[in-house]
Amino acid sequence: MADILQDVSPNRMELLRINRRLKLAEKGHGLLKEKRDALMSKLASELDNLRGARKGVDVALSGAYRKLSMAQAFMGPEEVYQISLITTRDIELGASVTSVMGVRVPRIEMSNLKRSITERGYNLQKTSSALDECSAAFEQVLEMIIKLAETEEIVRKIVIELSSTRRRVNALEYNIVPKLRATARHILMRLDEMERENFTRMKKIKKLMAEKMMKGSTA
Amino acid sequence: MGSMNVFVIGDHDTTIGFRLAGVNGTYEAADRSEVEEAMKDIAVKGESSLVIITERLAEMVRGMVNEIQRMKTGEVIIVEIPDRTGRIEGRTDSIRGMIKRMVGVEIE
Repeated sequence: MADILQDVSPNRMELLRINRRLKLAEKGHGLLKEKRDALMSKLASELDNLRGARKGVDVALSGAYRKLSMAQAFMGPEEVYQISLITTRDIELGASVTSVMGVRVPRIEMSNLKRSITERGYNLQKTSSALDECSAAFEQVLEMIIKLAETEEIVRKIVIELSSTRRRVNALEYNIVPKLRATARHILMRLDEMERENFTRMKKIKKLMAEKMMKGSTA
Repeated sequence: MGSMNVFVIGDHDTTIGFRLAGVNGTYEAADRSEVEEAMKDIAVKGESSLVIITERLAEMVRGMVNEIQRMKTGEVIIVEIPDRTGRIEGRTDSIRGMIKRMVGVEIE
């Protein structure tokens, strides 16, 4: 049997208060349980997305590395390295926060990151088409990685929320609710006990008074 | 809505690849101190950022990475990618580990 709450005086007011708390705790428990289950199914579907996104990145990235090797083979590693120093630009992503079932998750907005061959800023006459292919592959994979990052972050946030919801559900289920129940029972028992005590006390008094009356009438 | 910058921490080839894709915040790193240096450099910029890092380098600063990934704010998002030798075999990735530890469910 669960422990009872400390410092509770057994009276009717207290019993009412405990019962009110019990009702609230049970309601909260039900709601949190629903939230937990909803988060659980959301997690499952996001994990599907994550698996797909990760697989996509792995495949695309290994293709891009392969194309980089090709470019390096055609043009020499040093040349490719030098060119990579001039092809950069500022990439600005938009970051905002949306809510997935009350969980704040990031949203990353990106403009089109793919460039045409003339936009990259290197001399097309002096470079191999393998370099163009390599750059295009990395641009594509970059977009996929950004999407993957967003999905991973959503999953992480859901997991964090889920674990705290689970903790609260368990605390209510295994600690708070049983404690309140036990306390209510305890108070009821004490009240009954007091009633019985009172009953016997009354009887005793009645008896005493009756005796007194008898004595009075005989005197 | 804020803006977010992209950074790449990787080996020589990985940083070349992402520079070709246009990323200008790239850090070439080969050992733990270089990775830490790069992370600090990104951190002092103090903006919200997306850090793309190869798994092998992330392993070197695992504690730091986990800590950042578990923050509630999500100012810095770290995403791990394989390097040209592929994913590290037989490693539990951070998300799977997190789910197992915090939710108690094992996912394949």
